[in-house]
Amino acid sequence: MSDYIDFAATGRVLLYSLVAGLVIVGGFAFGARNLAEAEGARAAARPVVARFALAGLCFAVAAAGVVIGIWFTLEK
Amino acid sequence: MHNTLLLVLVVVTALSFDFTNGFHDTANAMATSIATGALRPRIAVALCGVLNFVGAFLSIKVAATIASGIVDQNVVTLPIVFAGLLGGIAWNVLTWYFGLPSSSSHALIGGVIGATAVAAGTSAVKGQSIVSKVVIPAVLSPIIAGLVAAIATFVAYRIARPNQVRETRKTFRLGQIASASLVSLAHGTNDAQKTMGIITLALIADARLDKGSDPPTWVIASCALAIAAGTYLGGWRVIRTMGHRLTQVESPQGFAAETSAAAVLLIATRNGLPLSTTHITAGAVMGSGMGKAADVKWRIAGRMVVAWIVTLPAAAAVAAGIAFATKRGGNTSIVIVAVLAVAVLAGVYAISRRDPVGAHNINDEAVDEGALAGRSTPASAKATVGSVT
Repeated sequence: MSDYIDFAATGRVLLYSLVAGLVIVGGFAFGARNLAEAEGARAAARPVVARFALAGLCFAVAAAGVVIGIWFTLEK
Repeated sequence: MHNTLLLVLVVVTALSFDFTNGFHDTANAMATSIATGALRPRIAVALCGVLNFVGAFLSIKVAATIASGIVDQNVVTLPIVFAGLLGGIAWNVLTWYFGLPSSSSHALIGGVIGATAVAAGTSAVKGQSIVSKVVIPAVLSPIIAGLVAAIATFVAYRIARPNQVRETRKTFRLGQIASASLVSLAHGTNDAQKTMGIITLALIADARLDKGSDPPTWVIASCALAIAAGTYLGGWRVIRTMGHRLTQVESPQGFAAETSAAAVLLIATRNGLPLSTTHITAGAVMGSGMGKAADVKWRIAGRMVVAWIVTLPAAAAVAAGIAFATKRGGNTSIVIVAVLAVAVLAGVYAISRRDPVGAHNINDEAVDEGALAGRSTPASAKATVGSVT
């Protein structure tokens, strides 16, 4: 750690933010894609339960990220 | 009696700064949601206002830390606080007029530095702390947020597949509402506390509170109201820049930008790295544009960066001038300066009404870089960009 910049904290922020951003955004995008595909499959009368379940799981992961964010805010 | 008048002036000025802080920073949370049509403009600013209000009550742990370590706290007096606040307000209003997102915290810190340097000498200003607490975070914020947002946006588009973006747009809009709400809540918690800290310091300096006291309930409530009211009125000019002029934002991109901004903001705060909310969100919007391989308006971004660089010295210069004018004139000169400041701010507002920007036309504006310099946009140049409300 120099007098001017805390490299360790900066590195942690970059790493954790990248992981959080990728997990939440990637998870949500995967959920959105599965939801769109499930709706398309339903219109074509194909089985949809697994796709809806997968979409729900992905959205739950993203929602968990938001809950952790609120927890961080409350903890400050 | 004179001290009471000065204290009242400082409290009113602090609440005015809090108002401009909310007014100026609505864009941080809501610009992309408004631009993509995830939320109607009025609903967006109302939601942001409510969450800022709630956020202000969530924590008082970092109140009184503004300017801590930046200047020698023992020399800070009510006139210095007054001049510093006015310097911050002046810069906030000026950058709002030109639609430039800039850090309200840096404006306030610049104001306090300028006023302290004139009133108590430059030895009371701690240069190393300014570099480590203001300058370096100002450089790091947009870089980290931009990198995270660029990668997150790239991944979002790869996963959602370009040909399915139309089908997933509605879902991404819902996600945008959640991520923008989180940024609003965090903003209310962070930024309202600065003003709470300033007012509490003023009350302690005037012996109305004991040293080390927490902000009284009326201070917390009034700060929450001021930042929420400012947020609700919406700094539409800054929203237009962030939502339309930096890059054309789509809903997956807006979601990735806001989520990345929230992640960087909250993780940085938890790790004790004082990054600027404005710089983080602006960096995330630019990063999301790069991640989507969209056209980022680097000329606009360049102007924004110049404003970031100028923020500290400009606010410091205004505050130094006010501190110089009030140094020998006592409370009378402070009252005169306050009246003059109200007149100047009313003048800027009146000038802004010649080219009004609001909820009714926020999404009707063409990407016209000339308008950022305060020029009106020719009607022929107007085109709807991303207007889905």
